[in-house]
Amino acid sequence: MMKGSFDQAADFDAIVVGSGISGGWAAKELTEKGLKVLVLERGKNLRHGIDYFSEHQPPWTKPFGGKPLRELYAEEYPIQSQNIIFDEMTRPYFLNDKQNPYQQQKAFNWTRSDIVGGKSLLWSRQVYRWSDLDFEANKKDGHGIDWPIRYADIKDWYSYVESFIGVSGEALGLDHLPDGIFQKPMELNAVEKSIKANIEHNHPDRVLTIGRTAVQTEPKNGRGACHYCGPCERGCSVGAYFSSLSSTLPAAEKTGNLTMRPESIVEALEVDPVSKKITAVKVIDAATGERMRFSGRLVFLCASAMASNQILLNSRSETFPNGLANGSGSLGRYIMDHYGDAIFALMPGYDDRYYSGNRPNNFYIPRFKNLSDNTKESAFVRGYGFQGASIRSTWSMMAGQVPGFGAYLKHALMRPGPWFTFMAGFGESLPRYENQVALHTSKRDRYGIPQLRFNVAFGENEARIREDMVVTGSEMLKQAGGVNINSVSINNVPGDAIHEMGGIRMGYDPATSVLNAYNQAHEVVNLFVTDGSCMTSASCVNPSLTFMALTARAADYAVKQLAAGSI
Amino acid sequence: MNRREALRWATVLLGGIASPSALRAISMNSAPSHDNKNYFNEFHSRQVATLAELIIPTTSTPGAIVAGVPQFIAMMVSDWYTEAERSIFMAGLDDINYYCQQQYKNNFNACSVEQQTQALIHFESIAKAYVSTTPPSLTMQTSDEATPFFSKLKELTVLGYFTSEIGITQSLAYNPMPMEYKADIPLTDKTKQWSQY
Repeated sequence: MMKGSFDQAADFDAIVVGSGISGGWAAKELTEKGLKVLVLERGKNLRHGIDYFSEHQPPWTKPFGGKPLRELYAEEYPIQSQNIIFDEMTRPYFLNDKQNPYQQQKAFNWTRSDIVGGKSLLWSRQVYRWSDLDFEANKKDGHGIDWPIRYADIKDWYSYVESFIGVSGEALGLDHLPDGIFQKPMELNAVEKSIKANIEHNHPDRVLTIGRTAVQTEPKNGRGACHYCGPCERGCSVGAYFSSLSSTLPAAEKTGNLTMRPESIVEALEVDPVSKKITAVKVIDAATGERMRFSGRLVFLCASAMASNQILLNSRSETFPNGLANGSGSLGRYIMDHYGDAIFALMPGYDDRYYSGNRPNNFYIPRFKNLSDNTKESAFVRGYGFQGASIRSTWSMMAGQVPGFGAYLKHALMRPGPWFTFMAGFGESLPRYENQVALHTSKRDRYGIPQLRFNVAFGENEARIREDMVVTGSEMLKQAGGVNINSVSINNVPGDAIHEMGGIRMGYDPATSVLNAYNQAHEVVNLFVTDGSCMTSASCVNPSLTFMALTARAADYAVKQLAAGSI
Repeated sequence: MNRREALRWATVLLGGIASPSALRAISMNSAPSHDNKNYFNEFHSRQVATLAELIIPTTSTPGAIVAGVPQFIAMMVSDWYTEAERSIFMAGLDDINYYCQQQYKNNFNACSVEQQTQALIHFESIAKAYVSTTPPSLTMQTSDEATPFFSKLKELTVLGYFTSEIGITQSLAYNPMPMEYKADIPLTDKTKQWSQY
């Protein structure tokens, strides 16, 4: 490994910060276009397949019957352990909260990974295209600034990404949830099919479909098809589900142009005051604490939405006293996340139906409010969708409900329990100036980097959307035959949905945004930011596919600009 | 939200409690003492084995003893329980023994199966009267450390059994490599519940 320096020619053609969903794509695209690329990842190395220590481990190998290690989790993982996939089968993939503190002026549950591949190993894999309903939303209702792109600008990049990652799903022909390149969809079960029929009968403008998921149902792209084992988050050796480790990073590696450096914490980016280009990426080796710098002609910042904000905020200089590329003053602001309540209902009447296998997917009800004059709501702008599933309850759910003991109890717990359906709403949040991340003025982490301080909260419009999703969702389940309908708040605290976005937004105007239509910083020509921080609005649609498409598109643009001598 | 998350929420909801603020509470503030000490003497061990088998008996499939549940309970009480939970559990073992002495003039282990069953029914009725003031938890743990002896015993027995290799492979349907998701199959009298992973 060569250390960078101001004086010599650039160490690499491009440096990619982060190896998650966006960083993996940046690495693949840039190396395939012939650039020598260094990927800096703060997490530990994790080799695809070889290091998936818990993959296919039988359930009886979980310590303490799968019960949480209460003392350890409370002490060292109070935030990460709130993730439902956090247990002894996945714990090494998460960052240790105690060792990596941040400040919550307002509560923010910040999920962070500690591995090469980042959260692409841990995500729920739901992938949907955004539409002009989303890209035009800010302009139409005046919240936030206009997106500098429209669906037509990104459409082909969606196709490009979907073909490579492998997406299973059903084509619907909806304008506001455009179809993609789909493999064979997974199937809805008996109760879900019945709910679908009921909803679509009672509400012709609503649709229920199987989730579009980055899990292959056909062997393709040198990767296998899903074998329905269940816990994707433990790793997938056959690569049926998309992660950086199973697809983009191997593609990058194959070019011979990739240098991967795990355990590399990016502290800041250094900029030349004259050219206003990034001249070095300052790195701290997590293992040794050694400080070093690397240089590249291009920098792709894909550190995760909030971490990318932190890096730019911490890259202060005389040229950029308020953070790199922050002439607009918008850096760190307009932070968004999804939120929602979930609705549960028992579903009587299907006692003779069951299923087998673990389907790593849910159903999806795309947004149906504020689409047209017919569906216009006076109480709120924007909208929400639902993700859900119908399943039969299990022994762990029934144990406390079946009274007594003995053969009756045992047999009751061995049998599939009552059907129930849950639907979780995902609402769009508005981009608001006051929702901000900033550097804490005095608190630093163990590497001396100022801690990120969160001051993000959901507002009035979000509250009204949440109310509507509960009423409307409950009504749909009731019409479909549900009983004992309850709602619970599941994604109340910003960060909970792990769809945090914004802070380094795209826009036409350098006075109000950090990035242009190609994710290039208005003020720093060799800086591209393509993770969730670039988002100008939040939509209610899962954003990861859009991060990937924007990254591939930005890489294409950057390399052309480089060749043209514009960077 | 994935399937497993739904399972955990439903665990709470089927119990009929749905307070949003309560549901967020994750009670893990208590410290277990990991001293690798076995708190059970020989008498306790036989007592726990008998109780576990009463809760999950051998039927057409193996019961709690064959599945190793007594050892699981001993481990959980020693290594996972907090001091408060352990003292309730240990006192419960003594209490049920005392109850047998009073009712049947015999210690628990020397009682007939019928007497042991009656004693356990008595302790279940005590547990039924208990009203928890602790909010339910999202994680698959009992967040209330103060639940009565019978509740603790039943929970550990059920958990131990259905997370044991024998319980999973013989009393549930287990297939780590299903290769397909069959979305709609008929349920017969013989259909077992699909195992959790």
